[in-house]
Amino acid sequence: MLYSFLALLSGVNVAVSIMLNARLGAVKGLYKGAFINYFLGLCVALPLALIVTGFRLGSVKISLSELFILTGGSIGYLVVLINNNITPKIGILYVTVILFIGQIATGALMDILAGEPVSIGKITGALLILAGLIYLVKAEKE
Amino acid sequence: MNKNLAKNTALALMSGIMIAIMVTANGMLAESTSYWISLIIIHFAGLATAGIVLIVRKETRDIFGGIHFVYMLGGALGVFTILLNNLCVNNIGVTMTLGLALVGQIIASGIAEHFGWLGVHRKKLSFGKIPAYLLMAAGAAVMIVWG
Repeated sequence: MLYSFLALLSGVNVAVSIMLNARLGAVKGLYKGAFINYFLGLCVALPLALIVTGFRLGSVKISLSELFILTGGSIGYLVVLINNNITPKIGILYVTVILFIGQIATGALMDILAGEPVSIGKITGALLILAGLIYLVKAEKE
Repeated sequence: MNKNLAKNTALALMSGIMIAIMVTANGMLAESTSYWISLIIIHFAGLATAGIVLIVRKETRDIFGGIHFVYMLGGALGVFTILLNNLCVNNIGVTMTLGLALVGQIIASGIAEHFGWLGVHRKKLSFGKIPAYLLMAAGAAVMIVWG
């Protein structure tokens, strides 16, 4: 229940970031805007991590076979570039619908691979959310 | 189907697939290092990639000028998005995290649009959109209760 609430909160956070970044991108351009984003992020993440851990970050041990887990930040950057490129062409809501389909299908696959159960409840919930999203696209067009 | 629409749809699909892989990778990184170190590594990787692109594009001058500080805060908020995602992915899985996050995002942007907050073009909530929000809320409820 706590984590469900945190996941919803994460989405709210994303919405606010998108609004702020739209303005940032309009003034500074996409590439500088994205750089500023990660720069500010690091400016917050670094002191936050140091304070919370009492300046004892510990060491990082990552085996060669799991090097790909270091690429999340770079993948996020590429996602921003792709989304910015296609959104003006096909519209934010249409992008969101297709993104969601890709996310949830891949997410379910990742969960199965990680041994995390993908219950009927999760699938039904995801389909209802998708139905709502498609309904919103139609309502927006009218 | 229009050729460009097909291409852009494929790109959107790919972007969604990448997001799910990214969220999984970040969650794994948080688990094998710590939630705090992972935040630093993720932002460093993103910053390095963005920096390389700026150098290649020769856009290294006047990076920070001419924009109000408030509009730079999206990146600061991004830290908490990643922290929350990492926490959620490792506890309720990728499907539920991304499903619920989308509902939170759509409802928050709907509210911002209704009131015209944060420079968003004001557009009042129309009656026709209410079933859409109800469906999404129902989807979130089903996930939380039976997920």
